[in-house]
Amino acid sequence: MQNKEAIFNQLLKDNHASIYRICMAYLYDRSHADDLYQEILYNIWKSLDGYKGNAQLSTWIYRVAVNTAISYNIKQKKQQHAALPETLNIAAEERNTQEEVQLQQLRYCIQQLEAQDRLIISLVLEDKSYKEIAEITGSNTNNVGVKINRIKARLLKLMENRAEHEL
Amino acid sequence: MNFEDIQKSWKAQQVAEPAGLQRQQEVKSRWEKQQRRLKLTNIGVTLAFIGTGSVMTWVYLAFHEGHSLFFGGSIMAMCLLMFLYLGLMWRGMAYKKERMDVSSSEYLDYQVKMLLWQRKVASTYSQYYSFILWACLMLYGWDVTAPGTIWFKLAFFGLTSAYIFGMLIYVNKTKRKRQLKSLDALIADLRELKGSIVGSESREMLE
Repeated sequence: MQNKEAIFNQLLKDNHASIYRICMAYLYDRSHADDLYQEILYNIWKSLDGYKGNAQLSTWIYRVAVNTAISYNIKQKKQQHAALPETLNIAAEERNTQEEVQLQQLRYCIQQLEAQDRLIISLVLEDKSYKEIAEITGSNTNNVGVKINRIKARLLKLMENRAEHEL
Repeated sequence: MNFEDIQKSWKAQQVAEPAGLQRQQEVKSRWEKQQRRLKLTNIGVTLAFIGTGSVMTWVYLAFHEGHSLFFGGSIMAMCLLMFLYLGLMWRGMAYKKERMDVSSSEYLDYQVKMLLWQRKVASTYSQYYSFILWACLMLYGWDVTAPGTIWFKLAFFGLTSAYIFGMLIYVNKTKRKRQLKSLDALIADLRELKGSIVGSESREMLE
């Protein structure tokens, strides 16, 4: 048990930021993102005993994270999430830098993608290779490549539209 | 603007540091609580099964003399009903042990399988359950109403049958209809999700 706790803490330390960013890409509302993050940690703990080393630890963690997000979505299916606001509502204290504004715009645009596309693009944003994403989703590299290119193009288009809208 | 800029900006965003030990304690205690609950449920069901089985065996052994075959038949039917219920319950419990560390494709297949099982229970096994319950009561009634008049027998069988099948039809047309509709919608969603995550060629495998 001591060993499990140590491994879990190390995993958390190494992957906390990536996991949390995936939650934020998947769910716009921060409180929902927090709930999802908690759920992912719980599932990592639950699944840790079953880790046999067949997949890389990072791939393993992302599998748990992506499946938890899918499961979260299934559970929340009946509860309507709050609709995206028409305009970006950036808190006053966050209006500091251009980067933060751009980041908010990016999150807003990501939310306009389909749920499954949000998951895939969040893995791309975390610098996962096509091969790793294929292993996480259970697809093949070619399919993943085609899909990612399509999602990237759509995201860029949304970002451009957003930028024009802001002007 | 290009994708690399977006990616850089995404990875540069600040994320609050985790309260490692606290988080770990939270998940650990939640896990232990859930395991405790599961263990207690299993023990409770097993004890209830042993208790009910013992009582039914005692009833048969103590009172079967002077009764017809239908008396034993009704007790057997009740045991069958109990086994059916336990089987459904344990199978349902097995589905709770889902693995989260498999690929999304496998995970979605598993979820669809679980929903199909729920659908099967709602659409088929619950009907069998009602039928066995009806058969059980009929056999029992045949035995206990033996000394009664034909009208008494007819009233017993008629009212019992009308109640069981009336309830079955009512539940099928209301609650079960809604349940099946929502399960079908969920299954269709998951199949579409898998097709969309894994790729178009996997759609055929899902059908």
